[in-house]
Amino acid sequence: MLTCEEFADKVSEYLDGNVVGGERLSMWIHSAICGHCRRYLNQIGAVVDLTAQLETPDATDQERTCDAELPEETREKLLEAFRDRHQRDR
Amino acid sequence: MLSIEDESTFIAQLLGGDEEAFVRLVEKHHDALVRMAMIFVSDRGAAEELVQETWLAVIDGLERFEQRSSLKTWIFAIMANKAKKRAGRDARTVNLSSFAEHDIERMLDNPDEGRFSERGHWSQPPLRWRIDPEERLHKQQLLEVVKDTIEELPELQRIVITMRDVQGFSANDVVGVMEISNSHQRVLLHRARATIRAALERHLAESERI
Repeated sequence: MLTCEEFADKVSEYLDGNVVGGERLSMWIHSAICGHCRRYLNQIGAVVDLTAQLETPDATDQERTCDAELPEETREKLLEAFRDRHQRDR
Repeated sequence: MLSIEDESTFIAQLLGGDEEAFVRLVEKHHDALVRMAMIFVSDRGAAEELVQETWLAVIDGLERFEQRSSLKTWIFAIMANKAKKRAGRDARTVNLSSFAEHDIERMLDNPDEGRFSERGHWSQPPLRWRIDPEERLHKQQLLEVVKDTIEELPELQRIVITMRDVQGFSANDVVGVMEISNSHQRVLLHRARATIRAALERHLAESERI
């Protein structure tokens, strides 16, 4: 039988889908019968949701159509280095 | 997420000297790289420098990239390794090769310490939060609390939660980039999340009195 402390300890793993089989079942049952632990689980879930919202546009791998904060000077410098590298190959 | 085939095609374009592809790659990741570099170095100037060095290394090393991870992970790993090499030159840099003792101390900092009885039951159970999800101002405040708490976390917890929950890297990515064990990064992540939960609880418990 899981204690609440053991449950709380595993909560992150459980939310990330890394607890499987019998252990996962134990966690699920425990959260079904223990209100405190269910609340803790939901709150950690809320933390994960909120933290994910701190991410800025790079969250998906969609192409960005605008020039973010890449300074013009940096871009030119890197492009030059890239060109140099590929001239060498020719 | 780019499929492996799409990524292979993209890499081939880069290796062929396609400048447009290269500019797209830089624009896509530069911002996130700088933000992550700020975890390792103290100011934006140093972070920009670190990221530029990273891009130069990407240009040079791309033909040796074996696609065992995604291109993004590989680029971030280069940056983390360069940051490690800077250890000692910059006061705030994490000295990752000697984090062991420092980190063990931190690992003993359990944010839920004292909340359980000896038999493992809750002695101080989690409090109920009053949250109105429709209220945008309220949500902004919560995000501020999360952000502030992350900034105050011990170094390694801050890095792991930023990579996992903010940037969306996988556990394997973190293990690869940070060169720590899986169980170690699990503990760090859980501690970080539990600390944020506790901070939100304090914030929401205080707000209730208003």
